[in-house]
Amino acid sequence: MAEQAKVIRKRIKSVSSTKKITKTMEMVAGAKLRVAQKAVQNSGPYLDQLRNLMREIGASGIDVSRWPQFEQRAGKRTLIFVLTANRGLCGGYNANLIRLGKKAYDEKVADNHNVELRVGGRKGVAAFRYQGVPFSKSYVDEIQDRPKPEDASFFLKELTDPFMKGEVDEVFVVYSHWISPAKQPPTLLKLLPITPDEGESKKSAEMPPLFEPSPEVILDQLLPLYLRQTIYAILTEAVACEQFARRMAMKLATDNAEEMVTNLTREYNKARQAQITKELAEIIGGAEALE
Amino acid sequence: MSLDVTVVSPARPVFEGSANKLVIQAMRGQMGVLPKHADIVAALGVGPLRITQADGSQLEFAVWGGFLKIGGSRVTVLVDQAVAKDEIVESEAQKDLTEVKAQLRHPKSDEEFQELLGKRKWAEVRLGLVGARATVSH
Repeated sequence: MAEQAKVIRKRIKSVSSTKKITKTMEMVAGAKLRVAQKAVQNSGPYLDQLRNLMREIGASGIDVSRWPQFEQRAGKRTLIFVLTANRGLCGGYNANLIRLGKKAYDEKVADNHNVELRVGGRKGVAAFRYQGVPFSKSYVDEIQDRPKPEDASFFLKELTDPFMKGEVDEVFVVYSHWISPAKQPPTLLKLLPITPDEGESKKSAEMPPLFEPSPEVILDQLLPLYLRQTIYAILTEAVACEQFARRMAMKLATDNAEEMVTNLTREYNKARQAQITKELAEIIGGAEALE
Repeated sequence: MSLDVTVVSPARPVFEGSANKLVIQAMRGQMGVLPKHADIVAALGVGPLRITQADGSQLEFAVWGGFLKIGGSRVTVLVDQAVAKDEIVESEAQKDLTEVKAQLRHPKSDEEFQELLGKRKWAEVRLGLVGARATVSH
């Protein structure tokens, strides 16, 4: 009995120290989440306005076929970039992204596409290597906790160059899309070619705006900016989602540890009581035997 | 009638409010915007942005690149970089200018040369706004 109480006491100690760790990680993730969320919020309006502008230009009836970014090609060479995190301990975050990435890959392959896979984040790299899915390029150190505009420029080059050079016909990104704290679905986004969107419908409604100096110059500048900003949003949203997932996972772990400590303490008390009872019985038994 | 002005940069929303007048650096020279301006989309250069607010006070920013969009009374300015006049650190701009000018002597490529010209303008605009003169000779 004394043995059992000792074992339980040891376990309580170990669980409480685990709890301390998860609690700290929860708080760290919370702090990082606040920063990441702020970055998402601050860059949101800019991207929205860029999208509006794109729509407006689409609606003005300019012939966009001059720009290769819009070119819908018949070829079947696809580039898929799966963006995961460098670190784990964030619940299903990485697993969900990897699953979606694998699904997108399999679907394209089944459709006879020649798929080039690129993976961002240590966790994705490990998972795809384990599953034996070949990827051509991986990014680990380039994935930062606080994405900067330069990081976006880097990935802009990495992801658009193959398309612009005609090596691939479409570019997809798998990432975690931050919609709200309650909604962050893993998302498959078509980066290139750009599909001229909803603008079409309101084409006839209004008089097209003037363009200064010319629509061509504006699109020349707008397109790279639009793509870069889209990628920046992808990077910042991914970080926010990762931290959110980690905070949730760590909170759960902390709660579980807490519950375990409670249960173990109860068990420990029981074992201790049993031991005292037993000792008492022995003493009384011994005393009675003497009489 | 006044203008509803929104200025946003990639890093953050810069300004939002109503204004009577706005002067901005378009690609081919400065451009003034008053209420009832025709709808327009314009590419921007490097230069000052002056917003005259409804109460007559003036706000000044140094802005770099981006677009101006006018639709009705709604004016949207998208900029790559923006810094308010109060936030300009003269010594920093001065330092940038000195560095850029040194680099301009030996540009490595045409693109870099263009980029450096932009940077020089950016430093000069910031200095111009705080009323300092460029102390480095050309």
